[in-house]
Amino acid sequence: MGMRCQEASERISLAADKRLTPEEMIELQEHIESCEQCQQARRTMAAVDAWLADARLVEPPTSMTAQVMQRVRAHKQRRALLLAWARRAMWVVILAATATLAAIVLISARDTLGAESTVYTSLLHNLVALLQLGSTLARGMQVIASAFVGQVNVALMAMYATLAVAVGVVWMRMFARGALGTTRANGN
Amino acid sequence: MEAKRPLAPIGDQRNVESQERAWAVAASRGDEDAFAKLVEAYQRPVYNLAYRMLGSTGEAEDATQETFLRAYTRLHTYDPGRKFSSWILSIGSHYCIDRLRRRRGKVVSMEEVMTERWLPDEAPRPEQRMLDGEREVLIQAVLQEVAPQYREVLILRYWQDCSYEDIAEITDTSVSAVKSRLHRARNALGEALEMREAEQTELARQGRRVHGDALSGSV
Repeated sequence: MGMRCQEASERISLAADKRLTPEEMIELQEHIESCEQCQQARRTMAAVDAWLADARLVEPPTSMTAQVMQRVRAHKQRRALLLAWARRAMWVVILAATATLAAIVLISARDTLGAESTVYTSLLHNLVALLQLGSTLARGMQVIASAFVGQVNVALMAMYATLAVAVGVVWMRMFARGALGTTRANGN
Repeated sequence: MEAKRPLAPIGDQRNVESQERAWAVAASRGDEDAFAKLVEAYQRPVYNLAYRMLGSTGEAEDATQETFLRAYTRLHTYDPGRKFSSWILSIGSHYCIDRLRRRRGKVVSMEEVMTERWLPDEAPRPEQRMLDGEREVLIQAVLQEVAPQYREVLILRYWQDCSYEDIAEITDTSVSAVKSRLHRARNALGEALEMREAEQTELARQGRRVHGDALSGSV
């Protein structure tokens, strides 16, 4: 008495796929010979296997490849459109961020230095010049970006970094002149 | 309908596989023609898997398109070290199981159930009429009675000629899980077949009685 019926049942299935070793096969056969229930199970399994072995393939419609490729192209177009929108949205965000930064610099300079201060007016001029430079740079970057579609993000980052450095330089010049400190002292 | 024949084109299996890998790599770099070649080579197995899983040619067509579209959007996740056939059949079988799950959530009228079960095609077209053989109807009806995860392994084993290892890869399980699932699937199919046989004999018995009544009535 080796095998239990549960295991025999599983082995019958494995035998149908030729997944048993010769020893396992012999063990199974010995069990089946002594077990009526498993003989019935083997008959059922043989019927199922024969029924399934007659599996036939059906032919897909001849237009299948064309239909799939049409959907692939439609998908590509949708994605390109989405990407274009995302790019536009990114530009809006970058411009808004730059404008906000410029406004903050200008307003805080006016509040601390006064509207007549030479530093404030020169800052105003600097920022106007910076914005002009920025828009020129942006246009240039757009040309570069469209040339290297894959590197759009890199180009955008580079542009923004350039702008940030330019704003930083203006600040540095202000601090170098000591403008902020002296006017604050004067104001008191 | 055609007799069964190997899924891969005739030729050195290894050459075929490396050719497919090359197509997949080219397709993932945006080569549309390479992708079209993969579709051409695999539409048959994918369509057959979907047809047996979902039960109708209409749904099978839609599922095949959806499978290849998914494959296209996920080409970057394809590992060229794996068989392309396993990868695409995995996407296809997951899609079918998902679709069946969604279908189960829907409220289906009795009429729809009957149509689903008995007609292999929602809208039979002339060129598909050859499918409507009695045997074909029976196969589809019995298969639909087996739970989807069992139907899946039976289709992969018998219609797609997959090894246990392939089935494990396609269904995201272990080989030992495939062994026991195939065993249970065969038992489930055996029960479905027996039930149908019992129904048929019952029907035949009733038919004889009705026939007998009619005869006795006419006398």
